[in-house]
Amino acid sequence: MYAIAVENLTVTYPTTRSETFRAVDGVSFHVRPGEIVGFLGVNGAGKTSTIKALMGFQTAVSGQATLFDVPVQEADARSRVGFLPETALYSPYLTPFETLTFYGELHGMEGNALKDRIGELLIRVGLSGKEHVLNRTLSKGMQQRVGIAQALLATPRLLILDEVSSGLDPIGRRDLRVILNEERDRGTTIFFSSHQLSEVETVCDRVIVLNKGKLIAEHRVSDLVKQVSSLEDYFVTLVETGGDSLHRTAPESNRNNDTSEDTRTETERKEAVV
Amino acid sequence: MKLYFAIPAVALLALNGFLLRAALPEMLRQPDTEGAEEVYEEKPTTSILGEFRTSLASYLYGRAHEYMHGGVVFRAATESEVQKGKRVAAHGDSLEDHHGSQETSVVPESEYDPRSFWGDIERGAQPWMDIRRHGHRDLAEALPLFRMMTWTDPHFVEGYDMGSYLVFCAAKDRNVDRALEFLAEGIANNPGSFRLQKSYGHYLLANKGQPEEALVHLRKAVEILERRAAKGGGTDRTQRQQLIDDIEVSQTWNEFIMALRKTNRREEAIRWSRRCIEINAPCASGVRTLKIYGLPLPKTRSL
Amino acid sequence: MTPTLRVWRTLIRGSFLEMVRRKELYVLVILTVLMVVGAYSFTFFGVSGLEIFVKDMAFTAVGLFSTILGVTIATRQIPEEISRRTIYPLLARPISRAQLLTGKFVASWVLTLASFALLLGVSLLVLTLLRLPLKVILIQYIWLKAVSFLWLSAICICLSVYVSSSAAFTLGLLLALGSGAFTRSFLLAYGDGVPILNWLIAILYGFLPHFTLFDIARKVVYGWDPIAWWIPLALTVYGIAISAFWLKLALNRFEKMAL
Repeated sequence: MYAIAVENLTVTYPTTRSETFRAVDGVSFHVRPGEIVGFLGVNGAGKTSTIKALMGFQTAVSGQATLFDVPVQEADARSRVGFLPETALYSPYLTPFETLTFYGELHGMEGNALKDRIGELLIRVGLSGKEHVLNRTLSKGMQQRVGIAQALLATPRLLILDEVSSGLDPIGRRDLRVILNEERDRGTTIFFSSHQLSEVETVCDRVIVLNKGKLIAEHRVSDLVKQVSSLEDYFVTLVETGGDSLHRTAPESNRNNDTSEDTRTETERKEAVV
Repeated sequence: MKLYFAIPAVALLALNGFLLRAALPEMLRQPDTEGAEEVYEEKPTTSILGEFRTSLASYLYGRAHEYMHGGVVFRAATESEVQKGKRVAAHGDSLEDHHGSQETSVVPESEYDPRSFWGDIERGAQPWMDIRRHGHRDLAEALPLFRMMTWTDPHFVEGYDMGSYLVFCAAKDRNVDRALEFLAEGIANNPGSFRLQKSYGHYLLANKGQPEEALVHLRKAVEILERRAAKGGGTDRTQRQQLIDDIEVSQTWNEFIMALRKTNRREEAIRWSRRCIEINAPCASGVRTLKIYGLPLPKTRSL
Repeated sequence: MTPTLRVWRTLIRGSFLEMVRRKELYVLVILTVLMVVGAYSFTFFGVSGLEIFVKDMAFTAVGLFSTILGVTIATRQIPEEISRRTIYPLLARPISRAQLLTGKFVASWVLTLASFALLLGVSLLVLTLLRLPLKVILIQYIWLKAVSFLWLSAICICLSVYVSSSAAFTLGLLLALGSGAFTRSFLLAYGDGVPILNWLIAILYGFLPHFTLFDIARKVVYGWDPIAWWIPLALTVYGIAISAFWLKLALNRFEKMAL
């Protein structure tokens, strides 16, 4: 079973009455449970469209996507997912505590369990002491922390984060790295898009690169750092030339594997890939 | 911080006060209608505040009609409705002339309503009564509205005119004196109104049996009309036509000529009848007067 | 509690907190009181016997302001979530779009009803203090208002998923406050034209909202007796059916909407 499975996904937007723009063009990739995958690409590459299709916000014109084997069109697919959208402005008339209570209740959480979880998360994201001020008084970075807390609220098995470090200051980014590492240690799968390549390099197991709606590279970070001087140089060259000169180290051969693969050790998986 | 809001607020209030101060003396003055019009044209502040109070008075006047019918709304019948014979029949009491002769209810009667079931629902849910057989609530209920509209705008002539009529009708014994009292207040506030002079004269002539006293007011009313005609007697055909078509103008002339006849002023009655026929085609009293005295009808001026 | 009811309850609670913290409701409550007391204040200047006028002012204020609030609340439910981008964390929960839309609809209805109750409560309090009693027909007035708000919320939610938020607000307000004038114009035009035109008018008439049928405020003001009970019952069935129609239309669009 894959945490995320995307097969030949195509997402289009109408531009005129008769023409459409292919934001995502036949993209396929998989994310295994427990992996941290960075989703890279320049602005307009199709990252957010892919994520929207993954979350069922956008209907794909072809291909399919599943989360833990459940088609994304079904509400149940999102029951084990925490999602952070790019720069959301949480209700200016609610406090962070009320915002999290609202999302928690929508997830079926309630009572003291919910209160305790919110209290714990507010400390984790650095909003302790700000829980009862209105969201409108919070800075953009603080609002992003509220967003991170709501994504973590229901103890998800998969975190999908769009431009996760947007609006965060250096301390916020450091705190975020700590949270992501803690979630990884807990076994949570993390799939996130970011323009902060250093962050991707530090946190991710694997990167997937999109350009003009197509998947142009898929590499293990550990392999990449052996072959390139820096991730940033590699990324810039990749996008400018439009082609990947490096050996593709993504688990290409595993795409059609059955779920028994998950039971293998990390070493076995790496061997299979290489 | 709050001071930043307080300063402009106080400034705004001061400006408001200044404007009111500039406008109020003109508004509180009791000019005749023409004079008032001139002041309104010259002073924008007076004009704006005047528009507001006139609008409020007009709104109240509009509601008064509803009040008399317990909230039922009437409208003028369309031409096709009139042609199809859907007309307002005379109703129980003597107030029929407050309706136009071709008025009908906004929610139609079942035989004119194509909606059948939905029509029944609307007739049940909304204040509705068949205008052909309808009556009125206690007219005294609407009187405060007239008191209020004339208090709001002392130059709202319709309020005094219609209000005095209601004062007259509301009492079972037809209280003419109270109606005259209300009209006298209206005349004091609007000495240039021919309508109020005409109505005052009408009550004296028709209800008090005092033609001499009535003549004083009716003569004033006609003089106002003549002054107005002389002043606005240009080539604006539509305006003149409207003036002549005005039922109030016609009634004023009729009442005046009738009062002249009743006070045995033969020569004057003939002279004014000829004048009335000359300028005013539907001059029933003028025609009748000339016929009574066996005189030929003058040729009416082409309009 | 079923998942759908839980979603509805949460959405109502969230929207309620927002409404309470916005200023518009308080402004309208104050305006209502000012209108009623203002109308009554004429008695201090020697104009007595204004009972009907004061009641008229009170019910005009309650009807007008609750309608404005109803349109405002309903037309911003979905567009505001989209513009703030909070629609994403909302739909990232295991809830369907149908649950979200119906939840927003129920929240709009409940909040409009709450605003109406507050405005009416304040007005009734003022009228009671002024010793201006009302008749039993008031119960039917409240009942029919509740049904009309159901319809108003459904139309406004529907408009808000088809057109922009501001356009939905304008159209909603136009339909809510102008429907009486529209339907009366159609009624006047009916019968004057050729049969085909009459059919067209009848169809258009059927599609137009008939909020005036649900507003018996004038009967309350003028102290009429309660209306026949089959009328509120028939209007309730009609109101629920037509609300379901508008909601289904909204759902058709919302479920296919790219967010």
